Amino acid sequence: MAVEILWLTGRSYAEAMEEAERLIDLRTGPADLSKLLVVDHASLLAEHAAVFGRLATGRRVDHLLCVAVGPFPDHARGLQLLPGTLAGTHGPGVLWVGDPNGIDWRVAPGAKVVGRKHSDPDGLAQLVALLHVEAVFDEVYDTFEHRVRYRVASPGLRLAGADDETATFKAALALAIERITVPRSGDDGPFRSLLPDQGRVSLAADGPLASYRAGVADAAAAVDAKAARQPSRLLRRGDDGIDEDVRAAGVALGQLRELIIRLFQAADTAKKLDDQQREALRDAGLQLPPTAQAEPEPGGSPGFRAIIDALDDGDALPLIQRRLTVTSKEIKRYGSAAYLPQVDTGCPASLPGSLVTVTEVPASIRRAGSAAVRQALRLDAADSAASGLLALVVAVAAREWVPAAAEPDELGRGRIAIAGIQQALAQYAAAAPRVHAARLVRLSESLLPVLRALVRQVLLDAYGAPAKVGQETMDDARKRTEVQLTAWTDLVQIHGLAARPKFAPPGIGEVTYTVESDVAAIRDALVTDPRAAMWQLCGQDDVTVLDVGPEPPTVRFAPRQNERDLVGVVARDTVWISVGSHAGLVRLVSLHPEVVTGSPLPQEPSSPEPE
Amino acid sequence: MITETLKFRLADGGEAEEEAELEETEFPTGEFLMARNAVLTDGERKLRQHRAVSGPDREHGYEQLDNEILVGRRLARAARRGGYPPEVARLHGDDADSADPYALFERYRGKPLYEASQAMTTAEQEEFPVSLLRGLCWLAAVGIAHRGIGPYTVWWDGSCAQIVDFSRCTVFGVMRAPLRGSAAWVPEEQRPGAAKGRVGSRDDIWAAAQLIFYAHSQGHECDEPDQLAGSGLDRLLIDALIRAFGPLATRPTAAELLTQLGRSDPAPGGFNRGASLLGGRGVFREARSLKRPEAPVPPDFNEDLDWALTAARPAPPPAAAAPPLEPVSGGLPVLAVPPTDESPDADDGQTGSTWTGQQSSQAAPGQPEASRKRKGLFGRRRDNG
Repeated sequence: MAVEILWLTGRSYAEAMEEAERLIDLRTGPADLSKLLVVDHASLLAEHAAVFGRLATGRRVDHLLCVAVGPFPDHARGLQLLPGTLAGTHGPGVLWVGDPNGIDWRVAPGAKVVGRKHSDPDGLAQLVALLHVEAVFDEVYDTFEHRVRYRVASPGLRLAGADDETATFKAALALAIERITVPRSGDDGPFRSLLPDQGRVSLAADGPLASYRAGVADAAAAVDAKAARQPSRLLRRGDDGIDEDVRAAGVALGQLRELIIRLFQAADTAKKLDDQQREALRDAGLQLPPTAQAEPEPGGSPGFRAIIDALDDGDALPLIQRRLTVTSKEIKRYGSAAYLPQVDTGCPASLPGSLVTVTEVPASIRRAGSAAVRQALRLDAADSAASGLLALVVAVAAREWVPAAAEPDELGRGRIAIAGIQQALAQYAAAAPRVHAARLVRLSESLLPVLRALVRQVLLDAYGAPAKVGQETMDDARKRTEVQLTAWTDLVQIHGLAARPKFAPPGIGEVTYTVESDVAAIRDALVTDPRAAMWQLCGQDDVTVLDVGPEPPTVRFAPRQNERDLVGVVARDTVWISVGSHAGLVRLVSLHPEVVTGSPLPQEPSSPEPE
Repeated sequence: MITETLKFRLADGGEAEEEAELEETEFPTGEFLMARNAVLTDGERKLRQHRAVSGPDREHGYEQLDNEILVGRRLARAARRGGYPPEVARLHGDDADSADPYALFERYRGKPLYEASQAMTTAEQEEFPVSLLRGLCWLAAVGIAHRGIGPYTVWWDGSCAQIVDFSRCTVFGVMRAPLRGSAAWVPEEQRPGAAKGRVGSRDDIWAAAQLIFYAHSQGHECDEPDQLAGSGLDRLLIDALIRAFGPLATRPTAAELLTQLGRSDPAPGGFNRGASLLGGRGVFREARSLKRPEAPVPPDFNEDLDWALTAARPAPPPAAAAPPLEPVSGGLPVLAVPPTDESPDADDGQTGSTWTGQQSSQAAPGQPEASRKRKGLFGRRRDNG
């Protein structure tokens, strides 16, 4: 057996009757029509009264339930609420859904009404889906038969997962937020891709820098060569001419030193080099990579890429901030003049001076061989100083003159934007409901990539429209994050946990968390007090006609697969269903008798006839 | 909101009576003061009203309110010829001699540094030291030591620092009172048990240096001089900070630090700290003796005049000649004789008990401790208060 559903909403009398006839007719209708659920507009019930009569007398339907949707516009004091074919002890049970979106409401005198946003599926769809489950249909029918006065009631729902879906999402997102905002240890070094790269600087072989360097090296080599020509490897007076070599080395070293000092002074800027400065460097034989002609797109900026790569690699936001700070220090430009003291340290002015004044090599030194000559006449020191000077100029060029992959101010803005993002995330997490963490880990893991995408989106916006002042950057990032979090949460509230916001990257796996399968959530739903606040499928003003006096009867249901876990904990009359994953309860709140009967005096309904 | 008609004395002279909308919620400012936001309804001028706390500490509140008013007035007078410096809080007016005295300051700009330091760009970090030192130059120009420079008393609006909260200020020349608080922010000569000498233009420099490091490092304190070298600060600034963290004898003034950084002192010189100060002090003493002839002059009544006289024309030292008077009793502001426009420095001379030597602390109650670490500056413990 199955529960058949007949939708009469929006149909004229003729259409409705035609559909009823089609259903009753064995040739066109289902073979078994013993259990029928009719869904109709409350405002059309009077017009469709004969249709219900036809269904009741068609010898096909044993159990009929009707879901009446919307208000009863024609109902007035003193009139019976339902047409004769639906009213009375022989009529079907009528579940009046005054508003498919429903309200959150507790069954108590004067209880406050809390509105609900439209959800998809709405309350009507959820109710119909539930009543389509035969076991639930049977139990609801039976409850109307024996426990609902006048057989008309407003249904309230408490569904495991459905009611708490948003709360569950918020709690899981809070966990994910914790994952990316709590400082953890990790590589807190600079972003290497942004550091100065000496490999991008080279020296022209025929340029002055290289030539002067070669001059020093050549002089040292000449001394060695002259020594090698002698059988005894000893230098002799007169034919060596090494004093000239030494003086030549001194001149070359002095020229190298002076040139570097001039370059450090001429190209001393913490900003971009101007044309004159570039020309001076080029003339000295320093080869720098060309300046980029166009600014990269925000998403293509090396600084942005470094942040996003670290985020994707699992770095927490505070760690990324630290790395940005360290990187900023490493790439900060001080101006080349700041390195002038290092020139003096590496090559004091006295060193080339001492070489160019050599006039004669004492015999004692000459006899000691070329190594002794080079050391005594400071040729080794000159060679080492020349190497050091070249290394210095290359290092300074890489750090101060080569166009940087990122500027400290840009990285600072990234750090500040992350601070703003963290503020909004922390605020969201603090306001999230407390749900047992162990249940949410899988869900939070599935949300992590989307959360990272959110951070990426906000950062991209910050890079795309940089604010002038740091505080504006922070405030802007915080607000953007708040907006995105709200939009994501609203989306989940409407479309469920699987909903993916626009910024979610493509190819993200489905949410692996099934609320309905969660035993604890089901147990919570099943033991809910029938009067407790739940999703009542009525409008704000409809509660005035609901009878808050008696405790509303309930129908509780849960998947059979959970029976073993829950038996003994939940009510004995819980319906264990084998299809679907529905779990929770339906409560049926009666209407005030005078509203149903139209009589100001309460009438005791006669007991139903025995079958 | 409460609507009230406020009658007050304008900081640059003259009386005012304006309708104001005052917020009901008050919040702490300084140690013993409360503040609430106010808007003057005619000019839409946004202000904050400072009043003494209620309860047993009210008298301390009165003293601190005096300090705020008097520093505000001095700065207003010093800035008469040029524009008012944005680097120091601006007193709009005050009602110093009513039963419930108050000061009206213009709203502070930006955010206190303990918040703002997280949002400063590199360019802002580089601009901050100069801006802070300019503010200190203005305070020094009017003979004032702030004694509370720190992340809560210096604000930043993205382009300019603003030194606020004058409640712990004192004048140059008085004996140093011990200053409680984290040792990172209090130099040796101002710490409890070690306080000595007279207040001067170098007293705020240690804390200012610490704050410059704090701003640059996004909220960290400088524990060791070595930290400066690896901080990414410019060499010039590092050299300046090393001097600022040095002993008092070699510690530079704000103006000297600015010069070292290639900038000039923005404050006008020649702020009249001598003759009219003595004149005002004399008027005050005379008024007091008429009112309470039996009251002796407190021993430190004129001690601040040392500084005033060194910067002014030679004048007969009045301190030694001052007859003994009772310390001013009660917590009310001691502006016994309203200052006049004819006497630009009148308030200096009329408030002999204002610059109290009370031990004060750096962090106001209820404010989070700025210090993030426990270790003292350059290895010393900080909880020395």
